Amino acid sequence: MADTSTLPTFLWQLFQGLRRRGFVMGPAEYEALRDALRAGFGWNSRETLRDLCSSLWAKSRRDKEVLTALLELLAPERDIWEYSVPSSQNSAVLKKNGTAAKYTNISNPRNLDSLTTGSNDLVVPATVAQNKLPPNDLEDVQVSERPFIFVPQFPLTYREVAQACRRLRRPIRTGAPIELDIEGTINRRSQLGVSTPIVMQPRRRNLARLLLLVDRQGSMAPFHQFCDEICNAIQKAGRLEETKICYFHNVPAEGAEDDFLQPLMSQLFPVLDPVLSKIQPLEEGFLYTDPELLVPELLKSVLKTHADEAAVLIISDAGAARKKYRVSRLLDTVAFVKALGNYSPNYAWLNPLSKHHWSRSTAAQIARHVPMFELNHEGMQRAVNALRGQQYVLERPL
Amino acid sequence: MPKRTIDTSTRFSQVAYDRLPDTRDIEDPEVEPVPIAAPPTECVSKELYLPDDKLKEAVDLAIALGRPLLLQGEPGCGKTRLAYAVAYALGLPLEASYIKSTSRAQDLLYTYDAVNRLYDAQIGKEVSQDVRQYIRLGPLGRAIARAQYGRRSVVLIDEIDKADLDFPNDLLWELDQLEFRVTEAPEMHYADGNDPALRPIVFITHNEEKALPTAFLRRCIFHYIDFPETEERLQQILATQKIDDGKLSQKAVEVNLELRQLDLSKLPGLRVLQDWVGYLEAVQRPTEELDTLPNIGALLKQEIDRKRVMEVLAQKQ
Repeated sequence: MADTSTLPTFLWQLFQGLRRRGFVMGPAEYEALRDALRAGFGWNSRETLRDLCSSLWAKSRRDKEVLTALLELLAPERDIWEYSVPSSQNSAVLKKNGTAAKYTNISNPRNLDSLTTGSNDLVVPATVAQNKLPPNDLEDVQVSERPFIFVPQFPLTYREVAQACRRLRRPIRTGAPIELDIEGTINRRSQLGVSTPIVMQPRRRNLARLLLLVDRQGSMAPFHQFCDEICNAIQKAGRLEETKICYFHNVPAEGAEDDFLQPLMSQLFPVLDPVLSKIQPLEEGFLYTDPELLVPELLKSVLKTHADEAAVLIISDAGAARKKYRVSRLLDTVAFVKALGNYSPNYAWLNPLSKHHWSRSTAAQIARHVPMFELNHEGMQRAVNALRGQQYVLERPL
Repeated sequence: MPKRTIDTSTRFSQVAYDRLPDTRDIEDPEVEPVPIAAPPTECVSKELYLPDDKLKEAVDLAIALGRPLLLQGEPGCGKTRLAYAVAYALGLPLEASYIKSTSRAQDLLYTYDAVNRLYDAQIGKEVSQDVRQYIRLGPLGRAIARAQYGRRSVVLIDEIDKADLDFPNDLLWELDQLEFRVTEAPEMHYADGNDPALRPIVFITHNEEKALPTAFLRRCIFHYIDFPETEERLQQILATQKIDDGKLSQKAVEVNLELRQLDLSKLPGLRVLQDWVGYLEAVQRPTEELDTLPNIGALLKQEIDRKRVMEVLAQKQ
């Protein structure tokens, strides 16, 4: 028997609102709430309804915060709503009034504890008219218990980063031999013809390594929290053998030789294409191991220890935030990437700004030489593709 | 996929837990293979547990909708003990499986002892011909087999985030349908028969160490167990531990709530507090001494917290 009843409007709005905020919910979740309401859960008070919704739809404490705030915004004031169930044997109309929940023909009527209606325990503050201004009436103003939601919502969520990093895998059998090698056992026995002990093999482990170079301060200051969340997600959920995070400011390496740039300086926006082959790889410089850029480490040693046979991700705006075009920055970056290429062929650049912000700045030029992607879901997936060795077409590869 | 019917006949909240007898005879879950009828019983003693109303509602909801209940919370606040309490209250056998980092989802259902079968075949034993002798059911497998024979059970999957990420993904279909087939012996097929009154009740605990996959989370009901906020609540919980000295437990509660106001890196959990008070009562410490926090190593496990608390105590005096 098809159940065609629909949830009350505010619950439907809650469902849509949560989907817009990135909750993974589909028709099954809608049905689950409907079934639970029909079974008699969530009728006692607004708190029980809120707990029911968060049990079914929220999967962590952060989700619960968002759901609670949204529910308080949408729920009707005096808790009067209807939900009718068209069923053949019990055509009951479940009505919820402000003071009591009445319903008939349910096999086990729930014990109705002392019911509390919605949020009517607020003390309405008294206002005094000042300086001939009309007095304010705060009678009907609804102040939610949770006026602020401090749960951050980034363009790229923790979960999406975890999913993308799962594809960065190099499963290699290393360690103590603890797994049964069926093929090996059968082969050995058939070769030798006698009963031999079984052959064991070590377990597969993910030996993928990642070096994260993150631009800090200056034009990247607005993105600090976002980048922290991404780095955190990669470290915790990436399940890589080693994740090394180093910080820099604007450019990882500085001081490339620029003598051969003279003929180009006559142009307004010089492009490095003619002199690309003359640029020497640059490894001089410092990276920092802490986000405040206080503890330096030689760039050369970092590259030697951590970039060898590892994937390298650079997170920086590449000059796109301030829309400036500086040839020296472009030169230093290209020289650094050339040096990086000597250690590892798998690198990608993530830019927190979206693509249309890159034009007319250093970022657009860097994007012609280095695979650069936006810092969102699609960009992250494509960056991981590039790190896994998939061909990425560059305008002018190095 | 057949839709599961809602079953509101079993409610944990309606069982008066305190009035249950101290021991009950419940089916012994560790009998191998699962008996088809008339299972042997064992004597189970009651777990002292005091769930709050929201937790009881969440358990009812999970039982009614037939979904697993995913419990999260501070360590030591009673996530694992809830499963024992529910099993005792409803008189059902408890199948507990404590997940390790090397656990595989297949092992929860059944394990196939290939090595022993190979050895027996080498020697030439007759029994090696029959695959079924080498199949052992795991906790979830036994629960489903018991459901097929008409008896309900409670399944506890403890600390699921310790296992590999594939672990919850591999369990999706089995948790949904509650049926499985042994691949090595296809005639062994267990299903709960879609009877809502026989569906195994599944509890999953989680330590927030790793994120679980979305598809898995969608199938679960989520509940976060908070540390008891009010003094009376904490008192009640301590009272269940049969700590007779009322003044001692009151003072301990005050001290504990003060500690939780400080900015410690690891707050003392409920279990830890119970152990501490129990010890103090056993050695009969006078109540006034509690201000100086004797045996502080039982409460605070990190040196930096201990120093912080010592500073604060010194300032108060």
